[in-house]
Amino acid sequence: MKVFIVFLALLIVNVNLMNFHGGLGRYIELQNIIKMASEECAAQAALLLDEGAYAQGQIVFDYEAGQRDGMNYLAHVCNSLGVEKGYELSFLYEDDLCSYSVGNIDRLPRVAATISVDVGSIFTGVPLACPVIQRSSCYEIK
Amino acid sequence: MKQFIVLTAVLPLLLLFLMQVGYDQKNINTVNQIQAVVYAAKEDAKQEGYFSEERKELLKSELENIRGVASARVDSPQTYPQARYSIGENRFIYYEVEVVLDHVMAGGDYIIEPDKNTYTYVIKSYTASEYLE
Repeated sequence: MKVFIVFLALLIVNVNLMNFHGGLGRYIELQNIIKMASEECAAQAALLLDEGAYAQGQIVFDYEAGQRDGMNYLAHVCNSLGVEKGYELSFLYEDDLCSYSVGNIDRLPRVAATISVDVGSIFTGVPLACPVIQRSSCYEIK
Repeated sequence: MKQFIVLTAVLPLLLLFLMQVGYDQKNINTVNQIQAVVYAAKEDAKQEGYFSEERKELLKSELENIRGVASARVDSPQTYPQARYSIGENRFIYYEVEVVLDHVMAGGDYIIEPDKNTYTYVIKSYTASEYLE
């Protein structure tokens, strides 16, 4: 009986170790995926320009189309990851309409996309200190 | 003697779990490499406006050269370059990459049949074209 109890204890420890290790790997993988998704959202939004303003010699992004396409892309990514809710996307624009930040000396139009995804629903068996992954990317037009 | 016999029976079972941690590490590294290769190919496809046949073949061979990958399949419906400033869906390049990883679980041929000891990793996504006509 004693041997069986020791075996059972070791089995439980091993199963938990394997579960935690697998979960941690998946968490790191998700961080990469979400970083890539933020890059893609920023790139997609930076390609959408307001044609009326462009005709007048100004570079102004199409904010509405950027938000729509970005959300569609993020929803696609999150659905493929198994996250149905708890994701957000926000853009920070610097262009001829929104003006430029102090650090942007060359006044280059840019789009910064920030994504927050709550991945807590995926990792039910792994205790995560930070279940919300947030990543930002910036795309600049020269 | 009895305990020794029990140990010989139980030890391989417990060792499998420890070995699986190493296998998990290997699988994670393989998936990271797959992501990096697909990401690089996607960036090239953005510039070209689509996944050309050469690009698909190159991506497939690069994926199959990764250690732990048994086979790969690359598919993209676009057959001609998508323009950068196209309106709506026409500016997107869709792609689907399916990679079969082998030897994903410890124990090898003793416990699992080789054709069942696999895992299919799928990347199904799209990107906006930056191709200028």
